[in-house]
Amino acid sequence: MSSHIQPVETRADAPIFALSGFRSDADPWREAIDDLWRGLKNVRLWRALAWQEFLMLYRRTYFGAAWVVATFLFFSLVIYVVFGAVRGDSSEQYLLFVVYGFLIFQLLSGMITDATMVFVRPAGWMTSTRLPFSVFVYRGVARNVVNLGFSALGAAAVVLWAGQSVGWVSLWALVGLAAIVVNGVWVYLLVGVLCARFRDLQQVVQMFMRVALFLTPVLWMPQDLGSRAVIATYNPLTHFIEIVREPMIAGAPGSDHWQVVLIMTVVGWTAALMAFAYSRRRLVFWI
Amino acid sequence: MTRILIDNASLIFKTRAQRKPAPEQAGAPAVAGDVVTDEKGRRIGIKALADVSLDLHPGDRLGIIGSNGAGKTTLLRMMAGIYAPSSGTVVVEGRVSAMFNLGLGMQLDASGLQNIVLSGLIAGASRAQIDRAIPDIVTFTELGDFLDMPVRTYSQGMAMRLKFACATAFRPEILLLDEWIGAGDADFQAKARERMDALVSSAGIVVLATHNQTLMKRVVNKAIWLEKGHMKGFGPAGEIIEALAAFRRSQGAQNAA
Repeated sequence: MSSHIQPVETRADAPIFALSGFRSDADPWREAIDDLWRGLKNVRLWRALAWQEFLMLYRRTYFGAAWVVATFLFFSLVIYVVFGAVRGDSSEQYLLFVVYGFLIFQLLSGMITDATMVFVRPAGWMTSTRLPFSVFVYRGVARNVVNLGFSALGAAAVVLWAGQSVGWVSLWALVGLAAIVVNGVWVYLLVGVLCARFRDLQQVVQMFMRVALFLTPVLWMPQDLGSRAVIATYNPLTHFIEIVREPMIAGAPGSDHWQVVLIMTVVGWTAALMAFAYSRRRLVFWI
Repeated sequence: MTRILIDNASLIFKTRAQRKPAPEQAGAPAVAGDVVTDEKGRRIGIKALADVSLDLHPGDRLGIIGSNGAGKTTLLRMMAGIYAPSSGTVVVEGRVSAMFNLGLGMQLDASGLQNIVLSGLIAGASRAQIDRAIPDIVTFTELGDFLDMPVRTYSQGMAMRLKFACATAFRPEILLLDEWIGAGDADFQAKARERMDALVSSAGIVVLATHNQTLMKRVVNKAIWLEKGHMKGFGPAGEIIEALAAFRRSQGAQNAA
């Protein structure tokens, strides 16, 4: 080799997350976990993608992301006015119930609906580079968290206006949010894989999410329903909302809601890992 | 050590079970691979690659040749780890950078510069590494102020320059290129060849699928010839390209007769 050629760069200087080889006979479980881990480590990538996707929604608008705040406020105030009248209870307590409830409901339904497309939409990327598939999962979760952040500004405005005081116990709400994010990842994985394989499921999920607002205690309180309150009990969304809403309103976090959430975390992650390990290699043929 | 090892690999694209195999039209050779049928004779898949084996080492520049639908892109995607083989083994060692369809893997609404950053992030480069690479990419593309415009507004040639610059900027050890690379102007092709040479001389591997014979002859030293997913030959580029040419001539003579 001629002498003017520069020495080969050491691996240490090279980008670390770039695909550095693979074996087609690798263990699918290892591969799935490796995918999730390598995707998570490339936080700069999914953060950038999430932010770009978020901004893209408000491209060329004058007010930009302020629309998220406005939409949130408008929606929750309309609920308060209309359903407050229906329930004959327009108290501040009900207002806060609606605001916190809708804030979290929006996050949950946003993630579940987006999850149906999480592997279908980036098909072009997945057939042109060997990125960890989980990058798209983290991107989706992150974008919804950004959205939550802006909506939370609207919620904060209402809370300040209502003059609600927030104590230390409300920190439990942050723990609740963390639990929602952790569960969001498995929801994306499981729903994403299933909907990529069985496209009709996309419609099923969307159908359910359209009525979910009425089946979840956001507009109404469980006690309003009398014997039909079981709708709230058997709706998993209820418990994910309550682990954030309860510490913000009632003060003490309810252990029954946390039990459901923890069980769902374990069962959900197990199912999602199984589905992802089974389908990681097949996914590219389904999209 | 950079290496691409493919051992007896086959790839089957599954299709929905079909009672009757698609009728083969008389005279016209089917372009795709063999039809895979189940025990009842229903079509359940197409064999896009059948028992392909090859072994590439540092310094190898492989050309993939064959008719449309012969399995060239499929083989490239298998080397990129996008398609896992249905049977056989694929082992790739080294950092892979793949350049397939032009629009894929780009954000068309984002500017050229944003796409450069994005491609760095995809390669896993740090912000500092990306910043260091940017001037070089900008010079290579010669796109100047266009880099601030959305990629959507680029011509094919401009997008190709950008994509190639990005694909080679973050020190890949293996570069996989699909057909369209032959479409650039003379200036671009010269620069691209220079880049590929640099990569190969620093112990890398280049794999190129193209119908452009001139480019092929200039760039590659080994070739693999695919027909309907089967390997018709693998070896020194000159020999294989000549074998394909001879095959085409004999087919032409047959059709004329």
